[in-house]
Amino acid sequence: MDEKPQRFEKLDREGIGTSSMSRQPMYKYLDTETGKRTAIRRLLLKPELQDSFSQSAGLPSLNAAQEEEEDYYGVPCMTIREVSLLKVMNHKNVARLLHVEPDNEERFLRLYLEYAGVDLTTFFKENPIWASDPKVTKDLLKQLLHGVAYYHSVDAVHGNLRPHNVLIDIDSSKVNVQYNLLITNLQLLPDTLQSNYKAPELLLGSKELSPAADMFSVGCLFFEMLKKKPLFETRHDQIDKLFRLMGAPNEDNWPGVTQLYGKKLSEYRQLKPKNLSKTLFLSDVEPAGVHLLSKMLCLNPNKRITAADALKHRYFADVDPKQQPKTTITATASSSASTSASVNP
Amino acid sequence: MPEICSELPDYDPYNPLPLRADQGLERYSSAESFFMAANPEAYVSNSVLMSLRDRGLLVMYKYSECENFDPIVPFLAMTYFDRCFSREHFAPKLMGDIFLHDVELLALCCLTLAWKMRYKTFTVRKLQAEQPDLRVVTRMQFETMELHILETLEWRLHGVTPLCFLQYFEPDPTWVSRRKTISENII
Repeated sequence: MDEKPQRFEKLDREGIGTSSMSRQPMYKYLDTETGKRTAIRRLLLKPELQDSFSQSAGLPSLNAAQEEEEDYYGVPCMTIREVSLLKVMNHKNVARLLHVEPDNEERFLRLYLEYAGVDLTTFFKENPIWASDPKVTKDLLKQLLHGVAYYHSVDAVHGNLRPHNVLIDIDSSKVNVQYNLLITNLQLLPDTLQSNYKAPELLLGSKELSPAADMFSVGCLFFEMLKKKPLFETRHDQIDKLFRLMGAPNEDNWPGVTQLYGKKLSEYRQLKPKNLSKTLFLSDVEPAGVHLLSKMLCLNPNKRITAADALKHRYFADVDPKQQPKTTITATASSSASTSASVNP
Repeated sequence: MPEICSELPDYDPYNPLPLRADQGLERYSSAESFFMAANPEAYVSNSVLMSLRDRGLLVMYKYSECENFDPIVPFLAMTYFDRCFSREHFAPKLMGDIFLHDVELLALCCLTLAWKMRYKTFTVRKLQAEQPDLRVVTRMQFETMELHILETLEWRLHGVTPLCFLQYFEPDPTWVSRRKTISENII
């Protein structure tokens, strides 16, 4: 279990799930310096476990890990890049990195990430009426897209977008209740054994996380906001269900797909895309929303809508532009602790 | 299950944070002091520290030489070294009784960190293959010294340097073609 450093006080009753790395319960902590709530993400100082996607997909074999470690000296390159980038990221809808603490004995880093409110699944369960309000859905999706667009604007990808990593904080102190959304990147065990928010190119064998892959995950989350259930219940038949819904990839809808994934694709029948509104029972959703969803779930990553373009989609035409969050980035000495961009209570 | 790779940007000396062109100058100006040596006047006037710094500079000069030499790497590494050494005036005791060797390891690890920020293909093992005398440094010595540097720098490796201001003081849109020459002068 994570030890409590002096600066951070464990909020005992506020467990948030089980760590996918340590298999231990994860808790929230109070940062006594900033008054913010935080949650810990661990990054091993070994190369084989640093990628959250590979963790949620299962650990590599011991032999592979040993071989990789043999070739590795010093702190992993991607760990250095990820933490140093998190240090300068500053956006209202992205969890701030408040503190980094190495555990030299066990060779991992504790990243204290800002935590606010509850995760998306808990929000649906605890607030069924608010969560059913189309205006709330639209507002939350817009905030999610702002956060994802920010990641992409700094040439980074999130790579692990799922309900556990989308936090909603309700501010009911004002006349109009406000919902603040925060994207974090914690390694919590997902409800199912495998991540079922992966883009088709990843399922077909691509090893590269990309902004387009993030947008597919956003599409899955958008559906979940609309229907309060996952688009794909389990991952083992996700690709089959996706092709039944969106049609199977071919050279017409995804030029070059045969060369990239032809062998894997030969296992699947050629299917035509279905009407999303009917198939997914989205008749209560405005047509612009269904159109945006179809753009996010587009099979071809090159044609999938970007976060910046999604924010300009007509689905958001009636949302007050004044509510757009500020985008800032800073590198001042006190930035992680005291900048004004905050969604905390 | 194949490992899935997350792309994280290479260090860009001209826009390290990174920022849009219209929001850069003010941000870089306010952030620059954090990326400089602490108490620079006291640091440069301390002859002992400066002679140790010269030693660090020699280490970087020697080991950064390679086929595709990139001057940004030792330049960035030297800013890490100055930020570390001006704040702490010491290096962790990892190389036996001779302090100078610890300073050399400090300089070497500033260099490996800068390389890792610039090129994701860089590994210490490749460097050791090219520079056989570095094989005496163990994995744990590399890791401990790199972690010491990262903690001293508070993990802020997106160094703001004079190169960040080039685009603001060279308004000519063709400046990119002369960027290399100007950068060489700064370095």
